Amino acid sequence: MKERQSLMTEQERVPIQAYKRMKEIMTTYYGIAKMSEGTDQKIAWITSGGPVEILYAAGIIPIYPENHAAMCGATRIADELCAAAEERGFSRDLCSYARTDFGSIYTKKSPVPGGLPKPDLLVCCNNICDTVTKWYQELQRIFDVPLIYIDAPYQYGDDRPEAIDYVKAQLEAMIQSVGEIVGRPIDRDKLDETLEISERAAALWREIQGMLAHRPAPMNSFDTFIHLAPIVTLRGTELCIEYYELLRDEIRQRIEAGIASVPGETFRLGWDNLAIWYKIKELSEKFAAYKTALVVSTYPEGFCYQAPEHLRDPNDRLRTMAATYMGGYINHGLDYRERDLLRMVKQFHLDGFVMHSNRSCRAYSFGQYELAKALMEKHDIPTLMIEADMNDSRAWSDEQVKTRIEAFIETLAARRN
Amino acid sequence: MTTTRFSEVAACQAAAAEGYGAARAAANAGRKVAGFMCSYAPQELFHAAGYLPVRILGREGGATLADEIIQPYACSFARSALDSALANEFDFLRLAVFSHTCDTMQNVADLWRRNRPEMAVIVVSVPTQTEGAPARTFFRRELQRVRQAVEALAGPVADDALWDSIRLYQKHRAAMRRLYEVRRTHPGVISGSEMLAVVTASFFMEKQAHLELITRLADAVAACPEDTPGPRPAVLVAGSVCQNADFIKAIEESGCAVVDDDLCMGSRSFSLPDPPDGDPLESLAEIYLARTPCPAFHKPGFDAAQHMLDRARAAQADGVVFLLTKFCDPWFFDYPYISRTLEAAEMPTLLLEVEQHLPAPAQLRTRVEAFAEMLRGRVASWA
Amino acid sequence: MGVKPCFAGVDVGSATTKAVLVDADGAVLAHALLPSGGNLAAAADAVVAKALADAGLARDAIAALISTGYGRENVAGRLKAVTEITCHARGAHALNPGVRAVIDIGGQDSKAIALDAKGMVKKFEMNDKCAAGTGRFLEVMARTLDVDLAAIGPLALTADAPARISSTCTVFAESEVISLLAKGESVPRILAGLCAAITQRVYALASRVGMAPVLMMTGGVAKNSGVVRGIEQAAGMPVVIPEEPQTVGALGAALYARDAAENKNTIQ
Repeated sequence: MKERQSLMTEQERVPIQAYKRMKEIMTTYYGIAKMSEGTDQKIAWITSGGPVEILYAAGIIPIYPENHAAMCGATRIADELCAAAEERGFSRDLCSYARTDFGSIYTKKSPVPGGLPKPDLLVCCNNICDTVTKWYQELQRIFDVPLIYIDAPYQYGDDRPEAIDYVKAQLEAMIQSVGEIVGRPIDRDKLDETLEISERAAALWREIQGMLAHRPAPMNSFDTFIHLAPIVTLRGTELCIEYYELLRDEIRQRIEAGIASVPGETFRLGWDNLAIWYKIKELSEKFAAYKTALVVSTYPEGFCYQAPEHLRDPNDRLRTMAATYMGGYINHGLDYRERDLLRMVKQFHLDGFVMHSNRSCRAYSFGQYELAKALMEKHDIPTLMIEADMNDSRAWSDEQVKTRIEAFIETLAARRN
Repeated sequence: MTTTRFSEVAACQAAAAEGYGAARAAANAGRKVAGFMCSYAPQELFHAAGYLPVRILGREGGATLADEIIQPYACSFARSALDSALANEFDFLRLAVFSHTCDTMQNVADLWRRNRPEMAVIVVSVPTQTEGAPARTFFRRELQRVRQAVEALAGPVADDALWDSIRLYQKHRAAMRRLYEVRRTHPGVISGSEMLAVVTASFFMEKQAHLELITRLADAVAACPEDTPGPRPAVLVAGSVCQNADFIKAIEESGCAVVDDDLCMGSRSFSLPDPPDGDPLESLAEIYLARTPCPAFHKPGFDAAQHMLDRARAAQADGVVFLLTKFCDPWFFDYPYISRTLEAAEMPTLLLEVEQHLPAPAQLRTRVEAFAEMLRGRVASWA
Repeated sequence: MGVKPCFAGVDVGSATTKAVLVDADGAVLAHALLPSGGNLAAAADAVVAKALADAGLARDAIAALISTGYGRENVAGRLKAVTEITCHARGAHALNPGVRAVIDIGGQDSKAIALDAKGMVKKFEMNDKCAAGTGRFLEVMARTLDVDLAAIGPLALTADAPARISSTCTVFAESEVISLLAKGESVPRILAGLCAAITQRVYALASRVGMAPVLMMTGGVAKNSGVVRGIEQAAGMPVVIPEEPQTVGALGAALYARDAAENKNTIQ
């Protein structure tokens, strides 16, 4: 193995240029939101899978506590913030995103100077997990502002029509309530327009991820974790489209120029579950050192989910929207997940999967052992399980993870020979 | 088994200790038995279809089989029940019924289904937000789907049969509520451990038989002279499941009198309003959504702290003991708010974090003893 | 011969067993400590004998004995057993009536207690079953680093900054310590990092009961100046350490024994 590595030309990794633009966009986004605090401009806190288009149509600025928590993780202040939440009685077993954000509210410590701007409204959609239900109930107790709740029933099989009708009815109610909150009815044309912008952004994001099927991959999953910030926070804006066009063009150029994200790409893996925010750089380097590229992830894929063709109704925009907000991978059962993982294996020419068993994210993690077993037994796809947490580094063991990664790649090499 | 002055309690203790023995015997005799995991299962539907509904519980002991399919950070109730299923201890069930509540149960249902393919599985999609017309319409349609699924397994369920079951369950819940009510004025007559046995027996026994027992028991308790818990401080125990009788026993042996509960495996299972007339499924949808909500749900306007404070005060409790299962997110999210609110209202609280498949840890007794010492200090007003 | 009666408190901890004898005025006559070992009843007997010998008293001088601590049910001749929570509060109050909060870090347990002006427990918290945040954590690390347990505090205080120990799991932290050593991190900085880790864990308990001055630390780890400084910084207030931090629970038990014998202020 060592010998083979030394024969390869050691190439420098070429960073993604668009990153600079993304940083500017994100800084501006949080800057404008923060400046709006205490003005007539209304601000809503919303879950990452929430129906944000209604807010845009009402002129409300959406803020995503989940994205904020991830930023706290990446800047390594999450542990301290989690501890602040624990000091107020929250169990350290609870979702580390929620603990991080509670801690940030209490201490005002945040990558956004002064912390997130206070909400006038909370919007919670449980299409990503039911933990957000409890998280937003607590936010409502803290801020004493209206909470709009959208229940998107978890689907074990095909999306049931009664569930889509139910989400649609709730979206109708939300349009009504948000209109009352801003004191004027929601402009339905503006809503349709925003939905269209969202769909275009989702399509672009899907296109970009699809480009990673190219061998060698022009970008890897650790990059997509970083570059998903705009699709999370700016979905529904032209700026989001503008950014992903920029990124898409750069990735296209990288493919044309033969630039590999991991020079000498030998193995290709998928990633399941949220990123490990405090270890992105280290993990990226670690896998790259073994000529291994992570080229697809169930997590960023979640943000390009749109209602499948058979559930779209061109005459009923809101029902199509409801079908989209039923959500993808993480609002569906294990059979769906298994099918989706297999699609990724084929589409992205994977040698295996890395599963982040994410200690404080039960919705995403339970079922991973079963899926790993199915991938291996039925489809001969090996899986590496990494026990960690998305934000709380106190559950992390460098040594243990290092050994597991090395052993897994040795296995992949042995399988190939 | 503790001694009891009531033969009805003794019968319940025997049923609780026997566990699935009776259900297994019934299954062997040809009865269809359905297991349900959560108090949101509309048992009436399965009862009307001829099933004997029994609650799925875990048991004491390791969960090594479950460890192969679910991470150790799943709650011990889920892991223990899954372990029993994998060990084929539920082979007498024809059907397993899950309700969509928390993130853990959502996945446990799927893991059960994939690993016990020979057993029918129905997951009832209970709306997570329980208020408003959309939720009721959806749940009515969901119950219609569940009814069809049951009918596909067990044959047609007539509306009349369904109404009979609904009325029987209504009577049973009312009788349980009355028992809880008379207990408040007789805390020395019937202990927390005895009540837990009565509740646990209700998960295993035929509904009609249990109804008769508790009706007689409530009469017998009411006929005793009213009393007080004596020198022991009175506590209300709150939480989700309590499959291990040892926990309540340990609390009582450590110097507290358990006078009421706000447990899922307790008063919460019986806190449903009476069903309105009309369409039986509409009626079921109404009562399950109007009940005291599981903390996994969102019921706008429901204040979990006020609810518990009211209940504790009504029971004249000196304090509240949270008996929470490690990794039970819905409860642990609410705990800081509820305990803070209770304490601000001069209702002291104690948190006990337990694992359902393990005996009460030694430290649990120390905590409860210290809590009892603290409450006695308050009650006796040291000066 | 008219021997003046004395009152005994015995605190049987997981690592150390402590005894305190007080006279009818509550003044301390003697105290003693012994390792608990495997036989808790024997340890309790021995430590009482040691304290009696120290005070020059015979066994029958003890008018009442109250036991406390993890092994409180193993003590022969006890009038009754009272939890270490209640006893620590009482002992701390006797030593300093201004005390409103106690943090006790023992070998196996850590606890935080809020008390009122009369020394009564208002609220308390204990650690979960994990060893992090207890004396055991430091013991394991001292062995890994080959440092004397008593030297941890002073050495930690010489560090310019703590090494970052993110894991609070004892097993993971141990492997972190080993890799920090391999990377050439200095022992004082690692020790400072460990003290910070235990401080954070314990302080989370403490803030849940509410910290108010006067804050007293008791238990074996109160002798660790590194942890004490960490708690002071986290709480933003000075920490009072009694002369004998390990015997505060036993003192509280002895005072309850005296009360019980005089039938006042008794814990029923």
